[in-house]
Amino acid sequence: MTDLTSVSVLVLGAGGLGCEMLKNLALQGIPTVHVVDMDTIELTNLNRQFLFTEKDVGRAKVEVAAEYINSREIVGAGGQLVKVTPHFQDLTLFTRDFLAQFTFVISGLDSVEARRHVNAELVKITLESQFQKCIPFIDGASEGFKGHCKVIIPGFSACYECSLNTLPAKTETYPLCTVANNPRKPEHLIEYALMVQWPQTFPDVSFDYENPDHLHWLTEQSIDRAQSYAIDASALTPNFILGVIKNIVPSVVSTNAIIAGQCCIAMTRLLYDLYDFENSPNFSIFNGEEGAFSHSYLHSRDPNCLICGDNKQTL
Amino acid sequence: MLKLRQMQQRKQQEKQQQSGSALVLETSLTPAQLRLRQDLASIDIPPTVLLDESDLLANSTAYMTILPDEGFYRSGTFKFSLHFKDTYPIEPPKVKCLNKIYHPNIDVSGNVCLNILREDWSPVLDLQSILVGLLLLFLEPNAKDPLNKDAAFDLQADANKFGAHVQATMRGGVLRNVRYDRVVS
Repeated sequence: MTDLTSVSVLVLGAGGLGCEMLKNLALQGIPTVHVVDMDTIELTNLNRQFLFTEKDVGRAKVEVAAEYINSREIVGAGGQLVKVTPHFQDLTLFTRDFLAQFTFVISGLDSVEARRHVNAELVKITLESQFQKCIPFIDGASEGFKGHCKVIIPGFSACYECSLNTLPAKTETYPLCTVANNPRKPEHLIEYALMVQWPQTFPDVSFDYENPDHLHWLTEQSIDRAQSYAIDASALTPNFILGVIKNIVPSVVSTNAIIAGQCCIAMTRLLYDLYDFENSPNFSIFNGEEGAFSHSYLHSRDPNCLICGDNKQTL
Repeated sequence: MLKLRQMQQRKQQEKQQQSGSALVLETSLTPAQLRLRQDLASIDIPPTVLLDESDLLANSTAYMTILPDEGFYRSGTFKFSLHFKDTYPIEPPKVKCLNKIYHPNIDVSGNVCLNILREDWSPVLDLQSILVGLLLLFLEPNAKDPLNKDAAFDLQADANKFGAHVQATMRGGVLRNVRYDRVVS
């Protein structure tokens, strides 16, 4: 029987996925849980990030999450209380020695760069220790009704970088020529004001969407231009504009629950040796847009992977 | 976790049986920088393009010079900056033309309208794709998706007149009250 008393898990992110993961790990009795996030709580988080309440707005997410779970005094493995330790910081500043103390790293991040960083560090831990250390990295992600769960055994199975080419590109959605000369949608006007008019008018100021003056300027410019192209300007409300420039996809709380659940199930299977390292599908996707579609598959290692590939030294 | 630990042990034994040389790992570069280095290692640069990578490590910026040997822009020298963020290759680099030129797909502020730099970018594309894309803009300027509307109109209406405008502006001439940069020697 696997002894859980010495198991420790690092959770990356204390947002929608992070709250679900922390809850799952605590109720599973994992005695040592650390969580890292550099965000503070905003009012709009509260619909899905259930460890926080209105009085916590403005405080560090990790601190409130840790307080909440620790205050429940959940009895974990070996009779010790589950303890969550918060780290209110940028996770890329963790040293490799710090990361090396954990049994698992589970992530619910919103940034590809942070994942790439952690992935690279964990692969290095395996390779530098000549395989004496190996910390499975379980990556959860959700956007709207869709999500994925990737199980990465650094040095053994496909790493995050191996699958980078399968990610959708983060691109500007509209051709520049369309937004400049042939705008047809309110979104085109906003894009033009942001990409072309702003740098022309304020070459030394970078646009800040949290600055009301900047947002006001963008609204005015877009509405002005709407008239010359006979585009309905009534759509150009500050909220709509913010949604376009921040590329907001509304979060769906149940998608988070499904993905976080799957990540914790993956960890459990690893813990109890229910994982077939050669044949188990390592990546899963979920799409709840129509019915519920989910698919698991084996993603192979890329022999030329820049992070874990066998050929990378030849570069 | 027994299975994983056994796998690690097997791997350790394998490694020991192989030569004793330890892996040399690159630790200081970010994943995006590693990817750029791979792009550079495999790039095939034609004689009509110069690539300056000297500022790549310090400022994440590369400079590409296009020297077209045929077409409307023959014998010009056109310099571009390519700024890469840590999001590369999920996000394409920001590309700017550093010369003020008269071109249907490049505006006078240096913005470039090239599909693979915006809506059609994909992480499988690389520095080579961008090089080919920029070169193509000079060999076959495209009047259908204009950024400089006047230039596109000229090209569509009368290719000879467009060619004459290109020649004049490349020598640093003034066209419709805009002075262009001299890009021929």
